[in-house]
Amino acid sequence: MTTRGLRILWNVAILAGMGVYIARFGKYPLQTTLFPRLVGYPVLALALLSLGREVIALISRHSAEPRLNLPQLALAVAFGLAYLALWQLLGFALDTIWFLTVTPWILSRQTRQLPVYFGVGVATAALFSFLFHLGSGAILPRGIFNVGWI
Amino acid sequence: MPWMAGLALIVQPVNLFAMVFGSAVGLFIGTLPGLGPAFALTLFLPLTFPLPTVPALTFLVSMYTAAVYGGAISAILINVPGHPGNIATTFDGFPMARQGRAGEAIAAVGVAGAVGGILSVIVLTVVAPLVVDIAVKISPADYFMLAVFGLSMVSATAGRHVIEGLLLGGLGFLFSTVGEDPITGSYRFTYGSQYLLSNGISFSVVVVGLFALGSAFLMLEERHLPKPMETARIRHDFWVGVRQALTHPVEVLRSSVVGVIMGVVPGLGIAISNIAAYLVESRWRPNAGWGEGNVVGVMAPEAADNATLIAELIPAFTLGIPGAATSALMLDAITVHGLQPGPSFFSGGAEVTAFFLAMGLSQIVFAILGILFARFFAKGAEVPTTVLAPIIIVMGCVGAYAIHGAIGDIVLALIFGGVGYIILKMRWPLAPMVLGTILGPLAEDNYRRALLIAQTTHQSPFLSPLPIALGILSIAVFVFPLIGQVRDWRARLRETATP
Repeated sequence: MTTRGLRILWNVAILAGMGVYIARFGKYPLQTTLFPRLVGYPVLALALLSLGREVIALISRHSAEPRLNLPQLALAVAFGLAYLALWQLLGFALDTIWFLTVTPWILSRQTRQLPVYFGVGVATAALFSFLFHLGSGAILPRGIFNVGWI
Repeated sequence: MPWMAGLALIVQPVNLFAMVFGSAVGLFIGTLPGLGPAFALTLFLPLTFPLPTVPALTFLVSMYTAAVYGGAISAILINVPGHPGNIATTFDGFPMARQGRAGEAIAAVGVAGAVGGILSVIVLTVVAPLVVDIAVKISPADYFMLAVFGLSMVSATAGRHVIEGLLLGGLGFLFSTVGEDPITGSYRFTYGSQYLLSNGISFSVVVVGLFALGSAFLMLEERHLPKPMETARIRHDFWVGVRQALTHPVEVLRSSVVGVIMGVVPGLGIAISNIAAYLVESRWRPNAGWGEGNVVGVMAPEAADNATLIAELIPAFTLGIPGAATSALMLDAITVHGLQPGPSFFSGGAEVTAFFLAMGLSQIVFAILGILFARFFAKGAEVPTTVLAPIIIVMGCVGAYAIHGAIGDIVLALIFGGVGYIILKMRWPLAPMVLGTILGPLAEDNYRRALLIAQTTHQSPFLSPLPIALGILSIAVFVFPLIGQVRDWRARLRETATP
């Protein structure tokens, strides 16, 4: 996919989102939707304008667009979701150590650096634990070194 | 204002520690390419929630001001500006470093930046209360149009991407409508989600996603592997730099004034002010060896940067209308820590004066830290993205979770991380969406109030001189760049159509 493809996809997503948003106008009292109407319709027009411009440029093929590194992009999204899953599974702190050890290793494939990554993971988890214990402790609902399922 | 009480607060050990620690963190983050004060605030603001007001705000404001100086250090030593606000510093900074004058450049920048920042703090404390006097006379219709004008200015400075800038600003406005209606208190656009019903789309979650996670995703997609960089040697000629700054007071003050003006006008920010100050100085003395290691060439941009960063807070703290993403984040920071912008802010107690004093003193602290540990901080620019990105993801997720203590915050931040990635990838500006999200509630609240007033007075409040003038200006700043853009686009199409 090229960056133009991503721009077209972005505009289509906005149009779809605006469709869902505008469809709700009728469900609420008019007063509540005055401001959303005032902003929503111009945003819809701008999204259409932006999409039209991209489509015309695509048809006229007037410039080459850089390609996206899709496998890496998928990896980036997967890492975000993996961290969320680890948080749920392991609880806070252990997930941080695990994530900060394994992720840089997968990304750079430098086995020699593993102890450094592990150190960074432990230090970051300890820092967060310390910071949040200074306050309410609400960030650690299941304890600092909670291992979740064990 | 109770200045002595504020001074007594700020010299407490915990607050001094917060100032030094905040400056050190800001300096380090500032050296990381592409990550500036907005990123630093986004990442650390949620982590300060449990802290008391004064240490939390001291930490944040010290980090905020030091981040730009950190970017200047890497601009001088390795020719990599940490932030767009440091671009002009590379013009003469790196040549100075190659001539073996890195220490001189770093010290000169530190002193000039501190002077610019302190001057701007003085302007903020003197001018802002006067603006507040005007602010209390502003009607809801004026407020609404001011918010629209601020947003259109920021969108219009998006260069070639005016349409996208406005679109992002409009989307920011719309995100703020999810959840509770500010007038009736009823709920809307929650789509049956318990999370959206309770929290809406929080500004803090949006910025964590846009700035922190968006940057991390971009790093992972582009995967720039670290290259060994040539770090210029630092000779201990710091005193030469300090002397240089003291022997060029007119240039430093002139650049600081340029910075203050650029800061007060919405939408300009440090990315423009550093180049503007450089241009002003280079036009003032055209044949002074610009680009070949002229020390004024590093002092002018950095004095302007620091002055702009503080001056941006004037409209934010007086009217509640920030003109840049950085000031929007500082506005959010003071609000979540219990201080309210507007008239009450400037008649506030010791906490407010302590905040102003922290802003001024941190300018001296970061200059000293930067000068002493420049070589260490410059290493920040060499941290591989494979290490940096996972750390940012972790900190972003923890920061998002700290906002409401809900997993839904992390999910929402990840979604906005995707949006931030697209915006950064396309080189569109992030500021309009950030500003739209923070200005949305203010704009809607005042729009609805203005309409309620109109119902009782049977006169449109939008037809008075100030709203009309602001409306015309808002349209003008949007239309003029758009005309140029359409003209360029048609010319390009014609060129490709010609065989």
